Amino acid sequence: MESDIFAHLATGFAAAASLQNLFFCLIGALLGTLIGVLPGIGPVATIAMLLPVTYGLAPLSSLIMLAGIYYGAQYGGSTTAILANMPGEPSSIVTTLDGHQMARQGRAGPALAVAALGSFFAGCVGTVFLAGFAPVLAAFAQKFTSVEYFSLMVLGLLSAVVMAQGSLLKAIAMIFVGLLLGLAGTDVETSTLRYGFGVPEFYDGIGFLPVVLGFFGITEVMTNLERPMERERLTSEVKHLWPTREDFRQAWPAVLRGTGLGSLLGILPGGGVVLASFASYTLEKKVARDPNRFGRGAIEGVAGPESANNAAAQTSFIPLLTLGLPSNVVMALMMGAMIIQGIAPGSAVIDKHPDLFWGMVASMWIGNAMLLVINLPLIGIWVRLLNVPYRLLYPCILVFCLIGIFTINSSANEVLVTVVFAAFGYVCYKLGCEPAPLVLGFLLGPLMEENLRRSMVLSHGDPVIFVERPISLVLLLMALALVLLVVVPQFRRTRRVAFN
Amino acid sequence: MLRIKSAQDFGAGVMFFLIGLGALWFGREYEVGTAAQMGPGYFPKALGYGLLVFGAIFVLRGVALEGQPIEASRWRPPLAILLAITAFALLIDRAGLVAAVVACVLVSALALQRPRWWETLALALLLAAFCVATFIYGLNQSMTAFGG
Repeated sequence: MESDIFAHLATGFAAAASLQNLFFCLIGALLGTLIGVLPGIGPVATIAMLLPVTYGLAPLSSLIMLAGIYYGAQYGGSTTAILANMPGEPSSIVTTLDGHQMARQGRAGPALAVAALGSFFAGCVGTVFLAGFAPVLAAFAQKFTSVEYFSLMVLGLLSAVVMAQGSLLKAIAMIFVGLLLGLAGTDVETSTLRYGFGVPEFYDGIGFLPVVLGFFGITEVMTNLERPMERERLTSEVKHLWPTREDFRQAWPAVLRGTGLGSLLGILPGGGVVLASFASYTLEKKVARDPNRFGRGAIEGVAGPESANNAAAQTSFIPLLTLGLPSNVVMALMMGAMIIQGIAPGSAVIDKHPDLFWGMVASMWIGNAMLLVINLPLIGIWVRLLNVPYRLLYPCILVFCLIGIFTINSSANEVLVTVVFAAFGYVCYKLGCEPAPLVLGFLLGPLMEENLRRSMVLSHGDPVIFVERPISLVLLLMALALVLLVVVPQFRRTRRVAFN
Repeated sequence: MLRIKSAQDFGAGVMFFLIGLGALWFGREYEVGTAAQMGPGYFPKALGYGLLVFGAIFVLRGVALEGQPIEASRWRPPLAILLAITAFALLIDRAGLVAAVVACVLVSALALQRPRWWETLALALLLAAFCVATFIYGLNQSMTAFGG
């Protein structure tokens, strides 16, 4: 078994280290750092607008590039958090607390270095988790039937809800809206056209780029423009990068804890980078001898969360590559990218496309090493980018989103459809309804209906089948436990603290 | 006199209720079938009824419990952006990528309180040139630079 892994990894490295794949890995890492540094655009919008471009690429190249954007963004996000006191990405919100304080004290260099080194270490370890754990889980998932898959989707959607901000009930309602949107188009089983509204673009189902970019990329532009984007002036120039011995001594246990915590939380369906960074900050504060140092430039407060979000970025690929279940919106987009390439995400990926899986794993190590170079010696370039005002950025974001939507079917009508979803996304934002559950529901809608139908045919219409099968029962109990956990006041409080 | 205590909840309730109603009305002819043999109407209708329930809950919550108000909207940014997307959609086939990008950028500048038109024009032209180079020449996407 072990020698197996090494053999697989060798083929993986051989695939990932081709000139072409190295190039796309570098593009992904650069783009990821870029959008990570820039507030106002995140990996969701970037990956979505690049999807049409990946049509023409080999499957491995396109996945390597898209994955690089996701974990690259975790590196870039910390730069903005530390230097400009605003999160480049939601996952670096907590990094602003201590990272920016360090910068004010003239220790921006060590803060950036610890964030990058911690991220590198965590990214590598997270990838080890992925390589070791995914094949086991995939083998287990081979036994799943439609019954287990339906329960798994219930668990996945509910855990996405628990991780969403704001009202739980609203998030569940948003899942319902998303599922409904996902059903539009021709029903596969009966060929009935549902919710077509006479728009030919809807007959094959509503395109997911108009929905995802409408709800994420474009809604973000509109809401960002509404509030004045004030930026704190960069507090200090980055002079000496290298942390002191004392810094290292304080940071490395936090890096280890953050890596462990992040790896675990990344695997959970619905988990991901944001949760991991918050949880790690809370943990560091708890275990610290003197919690008062936090918020005043404690290096652990940078090292822990920044490691955790990177570890989680790698391990959140596990549910997608083993169960075919996207655990967050970025993974949902990766799922879309795989489908575009004719690869069905799920337990068969590792067996059927070993080059693809192991190539991706290998590329993650290569990519993390590239990111270390991109982010430390070249930090000056990214700092200068931070001074680009938003009024020059948003038209570019908008245009790239629209070109992405147009090119997927060469259809101007798809762009018009986007107007509807952007307006809808804006209304939802005003009403305090989170877009993430809707988008996940939208992508899982058809799959969920299909598995529900098949299960009910198996059981002759008796829903008891979902609790009779042991694996399905366990999955549903986990979903129930999650919901109960949220209703319990204590967890509720931590969740509120974490999100405010 | 009934007072709305949480406009956000109340508004979300109305939205969910309307979507549920829409799902049931537009799906009224889809066959429901039985649990063992689900027709095309089974799942959508279940979701529609579910949304009616969610809608009712939030409307009641909005009336009964204190909560978030709806943040006042500055209408300029969302309208300008939606208009910019529409301009892009209408021009891309007829007039090509350059016109679509330039129009989109210029219209989107209306979102700003004090647009700087010369700067915006320069940005529009630069961006159009970049897009033509990248998407038409670099990536061979099926678009034309100047229509036709």
